Amino acid sequence: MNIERRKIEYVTEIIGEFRGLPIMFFGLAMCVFSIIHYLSELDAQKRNHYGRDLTYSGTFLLVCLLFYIFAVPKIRGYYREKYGQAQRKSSLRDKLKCLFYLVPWLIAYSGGTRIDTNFALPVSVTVLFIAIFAFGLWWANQRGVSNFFLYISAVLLGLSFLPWEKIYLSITVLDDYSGRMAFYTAACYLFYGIVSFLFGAFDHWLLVKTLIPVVREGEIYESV
Amino acid sequence: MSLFKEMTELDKLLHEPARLAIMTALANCEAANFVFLQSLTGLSKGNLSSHLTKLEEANFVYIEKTFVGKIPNTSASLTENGAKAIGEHWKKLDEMRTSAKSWKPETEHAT
Repeated sequence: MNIERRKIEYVTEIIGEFRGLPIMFFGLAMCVFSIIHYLSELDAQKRNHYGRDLTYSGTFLLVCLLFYIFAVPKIRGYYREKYGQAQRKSSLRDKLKCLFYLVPWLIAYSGGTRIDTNFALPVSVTVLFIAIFAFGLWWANQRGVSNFFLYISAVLLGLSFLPWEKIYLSITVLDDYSGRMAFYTAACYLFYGIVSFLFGAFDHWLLVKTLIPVVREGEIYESV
Repeated sequence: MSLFKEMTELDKLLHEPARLAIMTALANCEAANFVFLQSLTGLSKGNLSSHLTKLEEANFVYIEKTFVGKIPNTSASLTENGAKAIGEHWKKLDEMRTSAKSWKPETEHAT
């Protein structure tokens, strides 16, 4: 398909979906909370006090919920007013697309973090799965539009080979199971957050670059 | 038919740049409103309105006018006819582009 036609299709996808600025926010929130979470875990361990996970997850969910209730309608209104509205064609492919978002994250979160915590592999499985997630985003959404996420995926693939065990040991003085688990969980959230933030930023940038903001429709449209 | 003769016989109603942009945009979504088409094509309101009228008259586009609160909202979508026409038009253009890439003067003379 012609690249310009694919771009038009891509823009109708962004405008018709929950994309752009809201995703940027969720990505940013995930990055911030991953750091807060890790620091609180470290603090809890030093004091031999566990069970802070719920505080972290609860606050994160509350912030996201408040953002969804109050800010998302405003962002969507801003997009609608500036760039109009397009209703997407729904297909089975689109419905299955959400699996690209959920499955790698679940695998990275539940599987990758446990593998990294229990086995000292030369590669971080958590980061590797997020590299696969970035590749999935490119394959499902941006193929034919931009190779930006293909590069992100390659960078993450490279990062997965960093000596994460040494990094962990240099960051924390505690070398036990829960310390490792907290580290890899935080890394999972951090990288997932960065990828989500970049994905939202890319969508927003493409939207702004492709569409020309117009004033609200008036009564001029009378001839049709 | 020769490549160049085919080019001159393209459907002018669809091949006009603004209408081609409108039709291509609509082919990629279920429906789009006036503001979206305007921001995508960069056309003025009057221009876009006139092109949409032509496309509606040709039964390529279906126009629906509603109100969102107090604000008028004009939504456009392709008719079955329009979806078929734009699909065939792009197919023809893609084929022509492929033929044009491999075209040589001798080939044209030989046919």
